[in-house]
Amino acid sequence: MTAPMPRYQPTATTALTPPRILERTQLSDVDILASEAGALRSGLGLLSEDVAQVHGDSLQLQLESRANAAAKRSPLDLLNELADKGFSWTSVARVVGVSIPAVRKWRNGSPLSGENRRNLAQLVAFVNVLKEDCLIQDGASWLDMPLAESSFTGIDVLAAGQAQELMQFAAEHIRSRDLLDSAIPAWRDTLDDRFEVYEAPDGELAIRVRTKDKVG
Amino acid sequence: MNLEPAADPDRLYLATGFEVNPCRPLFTGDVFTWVEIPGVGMSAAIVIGHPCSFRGRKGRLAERTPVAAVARHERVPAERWSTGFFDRMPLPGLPFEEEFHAARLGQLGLAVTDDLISAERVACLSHAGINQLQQRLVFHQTRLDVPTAEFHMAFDHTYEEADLLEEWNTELKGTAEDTPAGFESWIRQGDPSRQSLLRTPQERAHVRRAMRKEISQIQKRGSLDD
Repeated sequence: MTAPMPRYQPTATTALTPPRILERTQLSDVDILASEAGALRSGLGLLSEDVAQVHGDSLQLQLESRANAAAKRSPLDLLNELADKGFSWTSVARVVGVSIPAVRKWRNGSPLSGENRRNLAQLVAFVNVLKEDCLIQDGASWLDMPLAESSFTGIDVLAAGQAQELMQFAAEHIRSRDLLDSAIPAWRDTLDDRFEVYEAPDGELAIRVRTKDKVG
Repeated sequence: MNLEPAADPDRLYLATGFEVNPCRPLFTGDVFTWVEIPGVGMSAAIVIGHPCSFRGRKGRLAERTPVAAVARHERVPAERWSTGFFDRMPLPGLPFEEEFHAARLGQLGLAVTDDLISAERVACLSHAGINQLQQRLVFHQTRLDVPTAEFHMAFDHTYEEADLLEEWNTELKGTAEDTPAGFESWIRQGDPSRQSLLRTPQERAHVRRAMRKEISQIQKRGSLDD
């Protein structure tokens, strides 16, 4: 008689290492939920980027359309509207990209180039979109506001040709730091916490070195 | 080092030559053709003092104004001004025969203000230009390296006030209110005063609107009187 075949006895190793296929089929509900949520989030991230792009493009189109309408008005009318809103001539000159004496000449009736007239109309259109769509009633004041505790303002962003980015900030879709990173990449170089501006005893502002405990 | 390189004339000046507005008040960074600087002699000059040092109450100017001599200078690359020439402020593009000039920050004096007023003003520095002038002046005199952004934050309201006074003078030229005193009286009204509101950037638009309204009312009163 031949001896019977010994029964298979799993070793410690084979007993403790389940086949991979089992691991897949034994996903818990929580694992599946996490996996699906992850996939949804990835999809949403891509969708969000697409939506942001479409929104940005639509803002650009909206600004262009408003600027086209504003450009039909006389330059003096546009300048008067900006003056009534409280813009400084320095700001107007910077955003349009000309000197202050040039703006003074326009106010006295000198003609503008087509490009300057267009840029002037864009500034008026921008402020009106701020008011109507972003509920920012005092656009001139809002544009004078320092951003992200720096000395840069919305006027600097407009002067850098980043009206669309500024509109995204006005609509609270991006933060002020992200706005400056995108519009004025070197803005962080100007941040310096070694000094502070304070009111001196004579009532005038002055600059002093920050004491150590105040340096962040 | 934070000292800025030489700026392009477009960024450095508010106006040069015939574009300088005669209605603009005397201000830091104004360049004049030919004045007597005590201790230095006759020279082109640039106003270097903070406005407080030469503008008093009711818009009255001090008898003397701190200035530095301005002289022809060899043209050097813009970036070299960040690491050298600390006793000078580059002034490219002044409307003089030679293209490149510099303020000599070691050749200072108190010019008679009336002499400045009667001399020809050939340039006014922009806000950025004044910040750079202050930066170089402080570094030359104290070796303290202050970023221009700090000067901007501390003194921007004075630039704004000078711009408003220029507009006031320009719009009311030839009227009874065409005086710095009229502006000084108006800007100091209110509690807090309009002048102190200028220190807060987002309040400036409000002050500009109020001033333009005031100018318009004065002009209407003037035309009724006529």
